[in-house]
Amino acid sequence: MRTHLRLSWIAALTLLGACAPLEAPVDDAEGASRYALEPLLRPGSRFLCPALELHFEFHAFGDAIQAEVSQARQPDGTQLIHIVGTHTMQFDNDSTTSVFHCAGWVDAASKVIPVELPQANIAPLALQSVRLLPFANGTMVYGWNPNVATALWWKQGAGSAVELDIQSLSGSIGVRADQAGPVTMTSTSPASFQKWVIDATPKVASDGPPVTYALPAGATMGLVRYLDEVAPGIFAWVQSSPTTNSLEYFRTDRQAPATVAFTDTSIRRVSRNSSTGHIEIVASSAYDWDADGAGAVASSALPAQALGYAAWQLTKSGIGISEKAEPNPNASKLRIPVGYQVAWPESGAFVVRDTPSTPCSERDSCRAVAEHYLLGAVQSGTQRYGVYYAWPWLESTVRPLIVLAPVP
Amino acid sequence: MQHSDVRRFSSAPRQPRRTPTAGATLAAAALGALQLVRAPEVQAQTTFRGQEIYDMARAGIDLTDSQLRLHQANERFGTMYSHFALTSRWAPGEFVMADGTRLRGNLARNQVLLGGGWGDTEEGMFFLGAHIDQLAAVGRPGQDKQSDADRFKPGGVAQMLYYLGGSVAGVQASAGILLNEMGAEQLSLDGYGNFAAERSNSPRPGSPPEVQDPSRRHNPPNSALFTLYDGHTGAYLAITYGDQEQRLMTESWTGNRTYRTERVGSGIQDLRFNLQPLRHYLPAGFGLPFATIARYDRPLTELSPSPQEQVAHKTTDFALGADDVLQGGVRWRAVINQDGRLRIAELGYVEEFRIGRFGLLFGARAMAVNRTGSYEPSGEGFLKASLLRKRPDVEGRATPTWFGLSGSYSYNTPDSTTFIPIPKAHVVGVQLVYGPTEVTKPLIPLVRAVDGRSSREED
Repeated sequence: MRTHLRLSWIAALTLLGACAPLEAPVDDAEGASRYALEPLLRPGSRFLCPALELHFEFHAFGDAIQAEVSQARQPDGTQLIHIVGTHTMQFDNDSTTSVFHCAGWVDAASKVIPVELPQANIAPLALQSVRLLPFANGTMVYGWNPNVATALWWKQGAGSAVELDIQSLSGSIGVRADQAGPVTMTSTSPASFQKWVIDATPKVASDGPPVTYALPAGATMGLVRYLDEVAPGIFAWVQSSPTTNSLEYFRTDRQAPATVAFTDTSIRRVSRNSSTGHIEIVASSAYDWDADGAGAVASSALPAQALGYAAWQLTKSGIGISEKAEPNPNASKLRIPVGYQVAWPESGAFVVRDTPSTPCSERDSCRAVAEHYLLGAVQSGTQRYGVYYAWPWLESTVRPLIVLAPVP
Repeated sequence: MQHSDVRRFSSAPRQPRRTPTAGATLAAAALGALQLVRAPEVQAQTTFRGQEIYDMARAGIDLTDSQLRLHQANERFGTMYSHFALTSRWAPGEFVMADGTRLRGNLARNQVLLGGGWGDTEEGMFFLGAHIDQLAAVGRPGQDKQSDADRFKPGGVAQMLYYLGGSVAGVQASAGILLNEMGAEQLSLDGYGNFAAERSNSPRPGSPPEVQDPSRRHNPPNSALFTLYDGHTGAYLAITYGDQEQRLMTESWTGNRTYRTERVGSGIQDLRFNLQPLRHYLPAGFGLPFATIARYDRPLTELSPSPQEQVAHKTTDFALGADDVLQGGVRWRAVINQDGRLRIAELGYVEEFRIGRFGLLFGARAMAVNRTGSYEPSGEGFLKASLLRKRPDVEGRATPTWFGLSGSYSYNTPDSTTFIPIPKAHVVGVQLVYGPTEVTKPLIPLVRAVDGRSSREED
């Protein structure tokens, strides 16, 4: 009898155990691809932001992905990285383009902190218009969405960015010499400059009276490509004139502009090198203009692409990317990137480096989770990073991940 | 030859590398109580990751091995005694879910054995029975309930065997149906191999064949199992016959290819041969020596971060040891990997006390286990109470037990016979046997040595 009792006890215990359920969050599929990918990444890799929501139906296909990766160096040396891109999907008789954006902050310890961005119906034009303006207390993402009259404001160290009303900021925009806020310029004659501050609200407020500057005799206003305040009360801007095929550099403390012939019409970005003070122009080549000095212009043409690689794509940050891809044997309308070359501007010339096609230590393990595309590249200190778009194979919706991974 | 254990280990967080010698670690493990005392504080460190647990279950659950043990018991006792055995071993730990969250629960391995026969192995015998071997992921009391739709029920993978057979002139043969419930979905794994509340989503167009059709997570087809055992030589042959599988591809008009596995035709699925004489060919002082060669998938925890090395998954272990050395219940074993690494150094001891038909068996073993370059202690202990039959049914053969009850505790065991070799896992087990205890796998493989000595004494 005792045997039967013991037997029944053991059997009941086992049965109870086998039937007892484990409780779990029901949304674990939301993080499944991220969790599956994470242990496969190269050391030092991080997810830049939560999975993107593209709202495509899952049976759609297409790998037409374009993106613009921007970075802003904060006064403390940390980096804010912002990505805006488009992914176009094909359906049976139709195609749809979805715009995504994402941002992350690489802090002083190289830790990536995702920055939550507002959800919005962003126009694809944002790829051309977005610009990061770093200030002492935060960074403005200007032109993030051409549909609205706002910028994004990221307060230094914050986990999210908020929309900032910039209707009062008319004209061209640049950064003040003290980085306390933006400076704007109206393209009239005389030109008018206004300094602004961004308070903790955040709200934009004018700071002092506007400063006017009469153009030198014979000079006319052109298309302003770049504006900044080089010293307190002294403003500078670069403008182009399609009619004269030249670039002009004005300073409010000088009577005559510096001029250089410039026929490259595909200008993507004009900026000032914070170390040399030179004006840098990214067009079909990268240019370095000593506009404040001797006026010399050095240009660096991208080298010929390697055999099997596609033509160079020059990003707004002046980095060239060339992709080598194969047709996907399992989907004739998709490609498999098998390698990248990235051309980094260094000392006035491009240095080409082979770059992995995935952010993983082992390419095949990465491809078992997702297809990967290199969107761009950034540099933080001496460390270079590739920004990868990881498009998981197994999801109920299209929810790509953005991975920041060290590259050579 | 002793049947080799196929071992795979989970990728629990790697410990800082230390390099104590195997001897020092073995000595530490021999203290035994060390780990028992530390058990509660390190209990939560045991992590269960879906794919690794599943792989270990696939490697560890093998009823063809159980059938060999049954044949050997029949040979030993000259007949098949009616028997029922239940073995249940449990390990507490944390299940790592698909989104990285961790849920506390238990991993359990349950084995059930039921059977009986008529006649004796020399003059004619008929027998039949059933085996069930299951690995289950189960919850723990006190967890908050959610609605049924939200519940995660990992369930378990299992293999079942229903057989019948006969024996004449010491040669046994059996035929059975081997049923597999070994698909990854049984453990609620998602497409990435993680425990998940939601089932796998369909792969999107363009995904690699292994993503669309992960053969390593398939439920193997059911089989007919045929076994043949010669009691004179100890030779054992097992053949599984059943459906053959093939991966097929379909291409749609859009150029997308989809893959699936289909069963095409029938044939021999697996063939296994084992030779293990049950007689003593060496002087008694040597005990019962055994040697093993095992080729298996290199455990994940032993893989180098180097991608080149990760490709070489297969590895081979050579093991040498002896049970019941000097007839004193001492067991030793050394397992050396093909890379020259001493993977396991083991020292065990068993002692039995008998008062009439009642027996009390105590056993413990300490091991130094080298998984990742440093030695870690492993310890196991068990206590078994048994009651012998008054006399054997077959003259001249060993007297079996009538009833046996065992309890065990293991820490960090590399053994996969009755559990799965999860690093740092604390495992408690119970075994209840009606009939000969030899028909089922022991909680800890030390019993056989004493049983061997007992049989010689009786002889």
